Amino acid sequence: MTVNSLSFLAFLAVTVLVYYLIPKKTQWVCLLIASLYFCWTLGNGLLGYLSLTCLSTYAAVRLMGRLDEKLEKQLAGLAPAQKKQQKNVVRKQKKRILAGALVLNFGILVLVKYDDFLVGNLNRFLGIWGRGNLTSPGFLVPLGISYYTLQSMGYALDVYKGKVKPEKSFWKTALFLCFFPQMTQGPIGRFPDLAPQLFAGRSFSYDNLAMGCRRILWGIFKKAVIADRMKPVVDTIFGHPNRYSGMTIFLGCIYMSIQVYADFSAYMDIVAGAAQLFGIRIAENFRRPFFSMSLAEYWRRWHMTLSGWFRDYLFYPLSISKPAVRFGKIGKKYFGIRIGRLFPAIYAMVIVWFSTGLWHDASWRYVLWGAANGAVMIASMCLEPCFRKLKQALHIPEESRGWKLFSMLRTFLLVSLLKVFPGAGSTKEALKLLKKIFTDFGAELSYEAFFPKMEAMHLAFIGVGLAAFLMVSIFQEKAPARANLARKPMAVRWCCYFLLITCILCMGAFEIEMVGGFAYAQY
Amino acid sequence: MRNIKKIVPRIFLLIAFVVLLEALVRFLYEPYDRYSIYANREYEQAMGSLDTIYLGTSQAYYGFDPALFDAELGTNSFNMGTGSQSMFVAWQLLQEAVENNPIENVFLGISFSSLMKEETDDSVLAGYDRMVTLKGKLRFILSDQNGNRRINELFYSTRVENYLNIKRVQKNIKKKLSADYAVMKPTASDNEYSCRGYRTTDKVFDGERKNEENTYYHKWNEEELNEENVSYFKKILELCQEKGISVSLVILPVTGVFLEDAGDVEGMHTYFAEMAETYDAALYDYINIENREELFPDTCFRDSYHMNTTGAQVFGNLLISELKKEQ
Repeated sequence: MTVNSLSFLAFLAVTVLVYYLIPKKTQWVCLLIASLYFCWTLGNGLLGYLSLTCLSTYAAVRLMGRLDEKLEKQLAGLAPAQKKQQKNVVRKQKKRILAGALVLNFGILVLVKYDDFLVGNLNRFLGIWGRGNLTSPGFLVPLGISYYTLQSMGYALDVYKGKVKPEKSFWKTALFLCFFPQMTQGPIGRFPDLAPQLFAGRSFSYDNLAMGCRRILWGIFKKAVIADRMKPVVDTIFGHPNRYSGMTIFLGCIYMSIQVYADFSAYMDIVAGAAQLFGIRIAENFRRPFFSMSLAEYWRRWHMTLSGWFRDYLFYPLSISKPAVRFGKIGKKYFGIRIGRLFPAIYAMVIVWFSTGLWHDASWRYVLWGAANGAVMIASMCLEPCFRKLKQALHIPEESRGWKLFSMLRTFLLVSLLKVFPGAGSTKEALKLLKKIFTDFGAELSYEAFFPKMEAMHLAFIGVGLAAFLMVSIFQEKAPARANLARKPMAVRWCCYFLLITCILCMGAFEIEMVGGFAYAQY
Repeated sequence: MRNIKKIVPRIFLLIAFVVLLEALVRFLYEPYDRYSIYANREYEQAMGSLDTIYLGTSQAYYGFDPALFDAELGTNSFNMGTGSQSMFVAWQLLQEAVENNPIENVFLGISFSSLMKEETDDSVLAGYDRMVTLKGKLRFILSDQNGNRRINELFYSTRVENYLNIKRVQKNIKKKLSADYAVMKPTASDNEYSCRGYRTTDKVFDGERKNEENTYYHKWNEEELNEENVSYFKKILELCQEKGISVSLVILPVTGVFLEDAGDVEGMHTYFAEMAETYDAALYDYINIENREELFPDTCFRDSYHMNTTGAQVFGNLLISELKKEQ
């Protein structure tokens, strides 16, 4: 069941009811049973894979925890030199355990999600020698595997570093990994933030119910009125790009940018609202990314838990690793101190963006997409002083509204342009479309060129949806809109609710072929 | 307790709003001349007294004339055929009919698509629109495996195609507020609604099969039967057997042009004959019949597979005479 379906809402309502009727000590058990049931409905062997991840993660963190406890006892009464030696021994042991857990879980992810990609590329490579007829095992990819794998490995890494104490209960560990609202598309939770909330018992709070429902309603509005309404025009353009000019394709990239944001943020609103019904606050994934003034800022506002995960567990360790330091020395030697200082970060960013692209999809076009993002950010980093001098020379006031708007628009268009990679059907096609945008723009002022195969009425609905979305985003940028709404008189609040419900029912894309799952569930 | 006092009125308020909104949208946008409105009205009036129903696709609603059958056989029947009716829809309609009427006879019109074709969303919604009891509607919604379609079934407002069609709205308001709306029938058009779910037309087939016809029809191939349809087909037969209801499987007549490309027609007869024997049903096959072309010339059809007024009378009289022989 998808989170925007009636069955999910019914399931959620029943779970919330049971949650508050049972004793507080057993509330986490209710969440666990509900989560396991939800995973079972997702099929594709998810429960099996999840069990393996839960068991391996639990075993790893418990073993590491035991080593830490043993070390603590051993350290008392040892000389400083011996303490250092003992710590090294334990660190190596923990490293081995952690490595085992990482290899197992990422191995499963690679095997299940990347089998076709790996075998395809291997066949291409072996084809040089006239071989290359391997067949991939064709595993069914369980929904959410990319998300819960990162969540579990983040937890293991935190235990390794000593940031968190391992949870002693296997079932509580399982709950942390499979908490149902965030199962299919995240957010990728951190143990210290999420776990205490999951395991704590709590009394019913009307405010949580009201805010949760408000957020779910808003999410359904964005999904039905904006995301699902825009999907057909995006599919039309990217489904038959040969029929359209570079301008239309570029517009398709823009539409896709908006559509994916509306879709993913709608999902986030629904799951955050669902979690809030239980009094649980999950991590936010978006902070109005289209208000970003640079690509770097965009990635600090978009899919924040994923970028945070890559930053904390990949970028930082890589940037201070021995290869990065060596790379930095080479950079300083050949490019001077200023650029050389950036080399460790560049080294880490190349790996992070390669990984980000690959995480999204097992295809070279996503790797290219990641590489393109990385390249722009690296170039911005290196050329930042030049841009500063240029702005000073041109007397551009950076705090002015005009400059901010220009920066936001520039960033939005850049992000949209890069959407040509996810939008295209293959790497070759993506490059072809990119070329077409620049060499065959073919500007045309016609309705069909701007909105191919879109009915005027549907366009009007999208317009209404986007206007509401933009207005709320602007309010939220200044102050939390939901908290503001909660303070308004009841009549005002209920008028807003009724308006939203009317828009969802009358403008929502519930025509059967349109409504489907969420875009980011495929990753 | 305080929370319940806060929550319950709000839930009622929400439900009331949605109900009012749906009623308003239906009033403004549901076409006043939709034949299902009239069919449902008549069905509700006849509810409790029906002893015979006809199920099936559009072939059935063009083929079974309840007035003819009732006059000749003394039955009290209703035609529950709907466009591209799947066996799931037929099952739902049958259950509702059996629960609310003393049903003794069921005629299941068999089309080539009956067991072959996957249900379409439009066809399921058309079937849902023919449910008249709350229990029947709820059961339909809960049985429907398609989560998205459930939203369409629950909320008519999600089905309105054009909210900006002001002319249509004006017409609807005018007609629905008129004094004679309760007894009004659809105006004469190509597909004229007759009575008790039966639709009839005097249009005559021109002999030429159009490309778009048969788009949704499959050629009979027993190896490609749709599992869900077969499953519900068996449920229909089992229910009738359990309740002691007489079931007649009627393979409806089509044109010779249609039969030129209809797959293993004899195999189709064999399959349904076996099913009829297993479930103690009767089988009437008007495709593998002797003198089919003489009995059902092209003048009996509006297109390559739907009967017109003449065809329905010919077919009806043939079936009635067979039924009388067996009585």
